[in-house]
Amino acid sequence: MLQRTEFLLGELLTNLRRNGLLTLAAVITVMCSLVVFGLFNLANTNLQNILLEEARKAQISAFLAKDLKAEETDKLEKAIRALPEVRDVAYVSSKEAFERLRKELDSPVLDSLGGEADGRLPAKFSVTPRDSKAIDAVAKQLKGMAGVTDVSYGGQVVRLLNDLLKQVRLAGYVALILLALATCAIISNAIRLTIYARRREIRIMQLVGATDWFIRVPFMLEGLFHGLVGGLLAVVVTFALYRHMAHVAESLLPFLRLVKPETLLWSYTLGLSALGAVIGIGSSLISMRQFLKEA
Amino acid sequence: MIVFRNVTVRYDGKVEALSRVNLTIPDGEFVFLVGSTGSGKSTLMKLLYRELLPTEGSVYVGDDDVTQLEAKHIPLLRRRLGVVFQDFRLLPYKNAVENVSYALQVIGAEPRDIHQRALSALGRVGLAHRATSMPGQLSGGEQQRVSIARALVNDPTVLLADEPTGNLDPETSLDVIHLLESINESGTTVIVATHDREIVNLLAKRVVELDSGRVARDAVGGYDRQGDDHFDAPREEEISEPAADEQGAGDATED
Ligand SMILES: Nc1ncnc2c1ncn2[C@@H]1O[C@H](COP(=O)(O)OP(=O)(O)OP(=O)(O)O)[C@@H](O)[C@H]1O
Ligand SMILES: [Mg+2]
Repeated sequence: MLQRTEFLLGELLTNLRRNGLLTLAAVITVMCSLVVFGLFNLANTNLQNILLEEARKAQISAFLAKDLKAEETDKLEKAIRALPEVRDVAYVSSKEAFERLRKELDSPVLDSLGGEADGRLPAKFSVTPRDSKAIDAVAKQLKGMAGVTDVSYGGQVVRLLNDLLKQVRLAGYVALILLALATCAIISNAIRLTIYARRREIRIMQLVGATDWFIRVPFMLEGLFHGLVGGLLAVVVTFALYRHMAHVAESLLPFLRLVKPETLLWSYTLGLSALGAVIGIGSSLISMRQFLKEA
Repeated sequence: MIVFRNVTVRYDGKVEALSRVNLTIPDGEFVFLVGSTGSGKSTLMKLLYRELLPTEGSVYVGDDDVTQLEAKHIPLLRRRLGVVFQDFRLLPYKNAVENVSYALQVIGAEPRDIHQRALSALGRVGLAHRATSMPGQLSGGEQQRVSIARALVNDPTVLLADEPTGNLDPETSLDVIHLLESINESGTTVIVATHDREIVNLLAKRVVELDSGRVARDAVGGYDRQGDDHFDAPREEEISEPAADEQGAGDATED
């Protein structure tokens, strides 16, 4: 077994050395394709993260009429709580609303207004829907309730992010398919050249009764090599790029929380090299099939 | 036993390379396959190792009709056959014993035995002392011996040689033919396609002559040296099936 493996590895090395430049080209093609795919995937993961965060934050402010009595307010709260799509309701008094605004804006102008501003902001209910998708429906219901003067919520942001996410995901898959095809074409061409260079060996193997699978193995190993090495290089390049881009993005937009590269490294190493391996072996089988049919 | 039954081969549906060939070769026989260029000798050989499927008819090697063989069983058929060509087909970057070993390595033989088996095959062709020579350092005759050793190393029941002396000078050719004869004497069926009249005449073996894809003659004995394509040595001993002979004789007179 050991010696047989040795024989096959020897065949593989001969093949790789024979068309060194093409091996390089194939490996680099795999790498580039998988880097592009990896970056799309990272963008997707981050957008999804941001979207989830936003959706979690998605609250509806239902502003209350100024003259609403305490018992009416209690009744309204119970009614809102009874809505099936509402997860939580919190009362924010006029004072609290002002404090929050002051904290958020952190502006001396508001400070100078002091207590004077007190009471100018209406009291409100902060309503959290069970599902961010239901936000529109809940807002509509709140608007129709007696005692609610106005409703505002960040639905636009969530919807926008959702759309963006869909686009990125679609682009990622289209890119993956196109790049996989291009990569397959290049690898199978490289392997076709190897097959051509080794046609004498293949003829002899066929004549002395080697099975088609045995003949295929060294070429499959070659494809596997292209795919795996390309995939691993792609991991390195993807994460170098990601680290850099994440750094730039976070320094430009301080509130942005991107997924830490470390947490994704292993799954990407596994995913990209597996993808590379599949593409590599697949391409070699394609070119072998053509050759064995002709022979 | 090898049997061709009503075998016709038409390339691309047009060129008829073999026409209703009937031929029986018992185990352990030595047969020369002769005929002018394009008469169908290589085609007949290719049918045996399933390089080619006939348009019509059946071809038996032992008990198997090789025309009915599933693709996955073709390698097993080829392991029972040894094939030798005019151009040796050695790998130039492997030495003699490595070239012979290769045939065992690629069929997944027990690795521990490979070197010993390859050496003993080289011994059978008288090249044990050149085991580590590269093909480029060997004469044509020696290279052909290495290729014969490679064909023999898996102990085939049939050895097919398609113009094995085509690239060799007369003296070396004779050596190679004598080697094939000695291999035959140890029990292997040997079929040799050749243009070499001198050799065929020198050895009193069964000679099957093809003419435009038909068996024109099937008898023991050599060529007549006067004619080039004509063939009038006496028929000493009829061997093949009468039907095949009648047909062959009939066609021959047509020309
Ligand atoms: N692959 C092919 N496609 C089409 N025609 C072919 C093919 N191989 C052989 N032929 C034709 O079939 C006929 C028999 O060819 P074959 O090679 O069997 O002859 P041969 O007796 O071996 O000749 P030679 O002595 O020159 O080797 C010839 O007319 C040849 O042109
Ligand atoms: Mg020929």
